[in-house]
Amino acid sequence: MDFTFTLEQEALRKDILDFIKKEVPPGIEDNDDSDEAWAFAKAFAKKLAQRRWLTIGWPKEYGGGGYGKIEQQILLETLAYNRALFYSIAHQGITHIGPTIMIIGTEEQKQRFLPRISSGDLIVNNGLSEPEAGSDLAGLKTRAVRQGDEYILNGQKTFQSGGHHADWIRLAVRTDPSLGRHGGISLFMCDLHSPGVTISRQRAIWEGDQMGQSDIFFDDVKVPASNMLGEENKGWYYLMTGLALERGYIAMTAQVQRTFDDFVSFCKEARYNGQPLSKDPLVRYKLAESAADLKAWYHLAWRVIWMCEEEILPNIESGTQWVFGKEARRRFAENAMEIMGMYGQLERGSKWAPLEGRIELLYRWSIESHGGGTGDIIKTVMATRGLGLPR
Amino acid sequence: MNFALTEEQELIRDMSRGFFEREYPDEVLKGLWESEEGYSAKLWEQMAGLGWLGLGMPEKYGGSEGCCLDLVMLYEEMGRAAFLSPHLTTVVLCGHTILAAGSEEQKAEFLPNIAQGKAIWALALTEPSGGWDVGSVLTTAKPQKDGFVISGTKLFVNYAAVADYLVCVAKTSGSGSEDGITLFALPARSEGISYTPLKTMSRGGQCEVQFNDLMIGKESLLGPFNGGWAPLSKAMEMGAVVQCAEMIGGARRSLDMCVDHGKQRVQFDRLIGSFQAVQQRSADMAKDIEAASLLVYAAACKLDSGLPAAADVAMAKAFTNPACRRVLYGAHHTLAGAGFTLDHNLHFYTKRVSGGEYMLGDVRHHLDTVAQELGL
Repeated sequence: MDFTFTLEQEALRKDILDFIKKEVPPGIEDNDDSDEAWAFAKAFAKKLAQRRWLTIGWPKEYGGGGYGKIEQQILLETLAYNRALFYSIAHQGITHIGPTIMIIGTEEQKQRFLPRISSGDLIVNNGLSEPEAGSDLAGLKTRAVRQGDEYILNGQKTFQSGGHHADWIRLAVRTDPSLGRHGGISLFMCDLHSPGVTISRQRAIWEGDQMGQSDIFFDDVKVPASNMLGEENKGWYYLMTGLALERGYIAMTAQVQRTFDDFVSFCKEARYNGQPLSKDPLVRYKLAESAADLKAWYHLAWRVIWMCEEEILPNIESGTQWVFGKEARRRFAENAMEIMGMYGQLERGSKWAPLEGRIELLYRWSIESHGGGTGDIIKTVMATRGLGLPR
Repeated sequence: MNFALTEEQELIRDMSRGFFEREYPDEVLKGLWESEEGYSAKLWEQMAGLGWLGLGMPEKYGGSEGCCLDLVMLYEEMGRAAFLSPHLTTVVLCGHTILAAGSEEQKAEFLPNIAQGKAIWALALTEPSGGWDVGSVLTTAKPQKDGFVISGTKLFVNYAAVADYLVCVAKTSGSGSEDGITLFALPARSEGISYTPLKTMSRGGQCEVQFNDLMIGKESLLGPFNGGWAPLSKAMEMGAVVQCAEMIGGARRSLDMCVDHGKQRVQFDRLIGSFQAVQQRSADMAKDIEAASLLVYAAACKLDSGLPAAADVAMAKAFTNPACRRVLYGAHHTLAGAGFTLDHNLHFYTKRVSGGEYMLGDVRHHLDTVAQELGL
């Protein structure tokens, strides 16, 4: 085993860091959804694209950097740790949908979509969840009915992270209700500027950044038949198999690690009853516990990325990474809030808020344990598919 | 970045799993558990023949080479088998201390004997305070004309009563700091040393060891005078990592028992493994095992790289202790009444994991190290 990166990978990390320092001015952060910050985010993604870094892990023929998944995640990790993981860089067009198009898309689709994602011009959402289809995704109801060379879409996708900034959506819809729950699902690419599309921002407990959620409504939206990905009615199969190698995700680990590191610095300086917080045995204990938690999460996340890069199908490893990570994040948020006491509740903007309110924000964020699948459903999958327990 | 095992490591894992399944059936385990010596001389000899008592040791001293991660593979299997032996104290703790601190003569004299299974060593470090830190060492070694006089009480010393030799850790300067500790390599059967076995939950032959003004010659000095803590702490780091691996092996085995049980046991006309309460708990157990094992593998790799590994080792042990405890408690939930009886093997794992938690530093000890490494 080798837990280290190659010299070339370390050099890449340093180049990315230098680039962030040069290009991202103080005061601009990825947890800011102002118009100004979003305009910057779009321009910043294009600058990354000019270096072929935006899709560094994609093949060169599609505008990528010709490296692998590890390099793509090094990019995301470095940006996330430095609070520059704007939605223009973190959207699923880069991490999931582009790679799926490479596998099941036609040559025309590859040429139409991939270079524009690589260049930072196209932001693509992943349209899976619906109001009645969360953990039970196969219960999705959004319909696509063929009419000549087009399909007519009707329905609703919900909890669409960054939906208000997306240009296109890759969505799973029902094309043939007679084929059962799993049999009649197909995948489409749909332009979100099409007539009949309405995007409605949702308000949520954690809504501060560019990845805030939206409902997306489809009302007689016309989609060319040439936008269907793969074969008709095979969507479920593609979702279950094609995506298995796109499970690794280090960015959230890096975001939480950054907040942790800043919080450790805070505890060395802040005083309580005349003593630095860091001298309090309980504070030391809680911080050390979270340090070990975050380190375990880091290794778990990188192992899944490595497996995907090596095309070893992750099984229990990916569920573990996901559930453990959210739990580790939550435990740290709870520890930090307890250490901060009354100050933990202050939102950003107050002159009294330590660390610009980042702990309060983390605490609200850590309430989320459902994105990418609820912990409950993931653990059930780990037990049945991973451990072989009966259904 | 590479999370795969080498062929060599897979071989160690497969061979040792096969060995323990074949040579260490339940009746042997049960017999050893109740025996006074707490290990099997026959199996010890066989392990020597397989090169496992020299694993991680240079060929020059009769060892079979290999790294800490190789040892981790062996220890996971020892844990899976609930194997009782003085391997940790002899090969890892004393062997690696001798390797790091010993003179060329001492290494040539002691290490080949360890690898060949001819000598058992016990590490006389811990004392009535129960701590694994330097401040807990109160036993003194007072310099005399031709040697030293050792006085003090050691406690929780594994396999001391059956050991041929001891590494004794003594305070030789008053400050209670790392530069006041000296190591001695001694024959265990000397007048002036007395042993009282302790009855402990996890076995492992723990003893109270009394040094009653034991006179020893200068040749017993292991490493520099007042310079014993550094080589010892390196061996203890390796020891903590393989101790974690042993606990993880036991936790893996107990999860396997639960999965097997869940696939066979029927209640309410259903296999209990199909109940979500059982499934979710099993997934949580697997999650704890996966997270702990990666911290342990990472710590082993850090040790093998020669870079400072204190933080990685401490995080691994601080995490593994409660994680494996949770796994075993979860296993008791699933195996319920059956797992509570002594007819079932689960209790061996529960007890071994519990004992492992205290060996080479409990949670408090290691979280304190992590806090120091964070600069707190």
